[in-house]
Amino acid sequence: MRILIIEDEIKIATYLVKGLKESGYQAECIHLGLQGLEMLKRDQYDLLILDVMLPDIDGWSVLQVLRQFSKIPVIFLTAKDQVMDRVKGLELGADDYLAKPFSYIELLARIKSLLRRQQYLQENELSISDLKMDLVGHKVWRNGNLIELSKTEFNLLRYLLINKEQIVTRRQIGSEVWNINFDTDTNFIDVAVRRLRSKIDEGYELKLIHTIRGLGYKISVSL
Amino acid sequence: MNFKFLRSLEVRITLLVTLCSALILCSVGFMTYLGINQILLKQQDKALADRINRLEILLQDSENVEQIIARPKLYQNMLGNQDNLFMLIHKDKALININPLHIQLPELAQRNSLQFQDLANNPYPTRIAWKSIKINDEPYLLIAGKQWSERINILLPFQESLLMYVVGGVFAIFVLCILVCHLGLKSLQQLRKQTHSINVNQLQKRLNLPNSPLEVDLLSKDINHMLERIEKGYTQLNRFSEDIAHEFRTPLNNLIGQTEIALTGERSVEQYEDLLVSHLDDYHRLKRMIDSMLFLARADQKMVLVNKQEINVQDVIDGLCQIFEYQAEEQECHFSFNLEAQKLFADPELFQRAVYNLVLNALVHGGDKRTIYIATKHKMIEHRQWVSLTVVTGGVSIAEHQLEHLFERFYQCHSSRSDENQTGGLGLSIVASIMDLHYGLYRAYNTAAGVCFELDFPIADVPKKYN
Repeated sequence: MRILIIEDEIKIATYLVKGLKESGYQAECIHLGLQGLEMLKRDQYDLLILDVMLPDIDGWSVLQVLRQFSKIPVIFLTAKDQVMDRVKGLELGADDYLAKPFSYIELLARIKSLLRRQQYLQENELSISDLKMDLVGHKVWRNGNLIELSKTEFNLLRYLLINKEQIVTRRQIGSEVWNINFDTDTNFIDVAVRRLRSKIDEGYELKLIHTIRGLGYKISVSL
Repeated sequence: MNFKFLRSLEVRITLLVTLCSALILCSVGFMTYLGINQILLKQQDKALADRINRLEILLQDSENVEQIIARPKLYQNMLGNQDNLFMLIHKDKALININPLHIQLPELAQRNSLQFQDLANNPYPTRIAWKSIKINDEPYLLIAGKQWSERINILLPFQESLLMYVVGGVFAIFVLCILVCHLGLKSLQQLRKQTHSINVNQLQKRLNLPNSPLEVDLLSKDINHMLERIEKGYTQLNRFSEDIAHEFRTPLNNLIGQTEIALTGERSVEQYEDLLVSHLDDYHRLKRMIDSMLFLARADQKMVLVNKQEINVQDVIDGLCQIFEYQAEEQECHFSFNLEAQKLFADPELFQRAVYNLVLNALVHGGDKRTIYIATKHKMIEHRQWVSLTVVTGGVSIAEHQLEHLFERFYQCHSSRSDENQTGGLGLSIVASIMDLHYGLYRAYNTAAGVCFELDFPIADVPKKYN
């Protein structure tokens, strides 16, 4: 998967390239809008990360020109996050919008979701290792043993399993499981995960729910 | 040309008063002139009539007629005055013809009563009176005339002095007006001077204008009120900036200190990891503060999109209780509900955030083993329907002097600022902003059960229906 980053702040562009390469993507960056457009015309990319404020032409214009010849997914990055800017970006054909300062984990999650959008299938059963989750019957088994979960715990586990082998941030969990779309500073997510973990992992050799320090959580067979 | 001076109130009043008084003086002068002219005309006519009447009486005696005819010069001399005109005409023959200026007479109609006419188209404009009389059945025409010049000779000097008086009067009014305006508007000048002397560093100064006119007094009082509000706002702003700086300083201090310590020696990978995790916490804290402040700033400018719609209160409260379920359990706190009003109109996300902040506030500041009562009910304020939502923390009270400051930004009851858990005293001010965005009301007060936070949402504002 090739990702192009058009971003004039060299520090951000550099760490994004570094991070995305570590996450297994082919990432390149360019600091000027017009040069970026040339690269997009010349080569095949799968996704574009675009800053709104660029020294030569702004991100809106880049997107307008791009949409004349390409339909690749575009994620806008901007320091402005007023509602009208969001609307403008989405109207012009951006697929997602992230305001600075943004969390890299969140950006990564959105990149993944955009890239797999077409392949995403609604499943009735989720599983990892010996953990099985029946979404229709609302039941969870570990190694064949039925585990009683509260409604919240069930939703939390489902979200972790949908994103298995991936880090999910507290903000993502808050938004998806509790429908809280503002940054909170309470530890209710940690408490909820702790409880879930005690029901899922306690008494088993293989731990599935991992805390990624400072970032969030991940459900996976190995860390 | 620069007409800037015309904008001066003094100049304007002076010019306006002078113009008005000039108009009045001119019209009074003109009327006086007309009046005098009228009196003179009447006198003139009376003199002419007298002359004709005298001669008529004289002529009634036939002897006199003959004498006059015989010796017209005598009568001419008797009448003297060179400027005057006097004629006695009998059948186209002038028996007496005193007309030193040779004034052309027009055709005069035969009238038995006294007639007057102005002969204006003449080198010497004259007013004449004439009368037809019969003596011994013979028709005679008597004409007497007086030149205008006689009247004009009186009128002209009068006119001149009148004009002088008017001009003098207008000038006097002008000068007086300047003086009066200057003195009368002195308090305005003082007001300007005092206002000018008030700057950012002297916001505590107030205008003091004793014995000023009512208008200036009212104005200075209003300005003083305005100054009070500005001073209050400015003090708040100053404190706010100071608080922001302080709040920023704490995480920055952690970042700098920890990094410096880490760099002073060899550290293991785990230690560096610890450092980074700790840094990330502080970064998140800074980010949250910036987000909250941005939200407040935008809410102040009404730049937050408020998507009002019908909200099922029960759903929102249920959702929030799920969030606080574990924290409440750990603190051994309980929730108690009494939702009389099930629906209200608000932006779902903002409403959720406001109630979230209130419940969190209750849990964090209420301490352990409390009951948190959440209730909604309908109420009427000034004939409008409202839905009020109350969050009461049982068994807790807040000092009265602190209650009014609770919704202020960065205000914390305990000044230690060790509030690691929260947005640094912005939670309740965000609630206040959300209520302002909904044109709602908010307050905090102590009840018998405990401290109560009340949010009132108006429901008159029915949302538009989309099909």
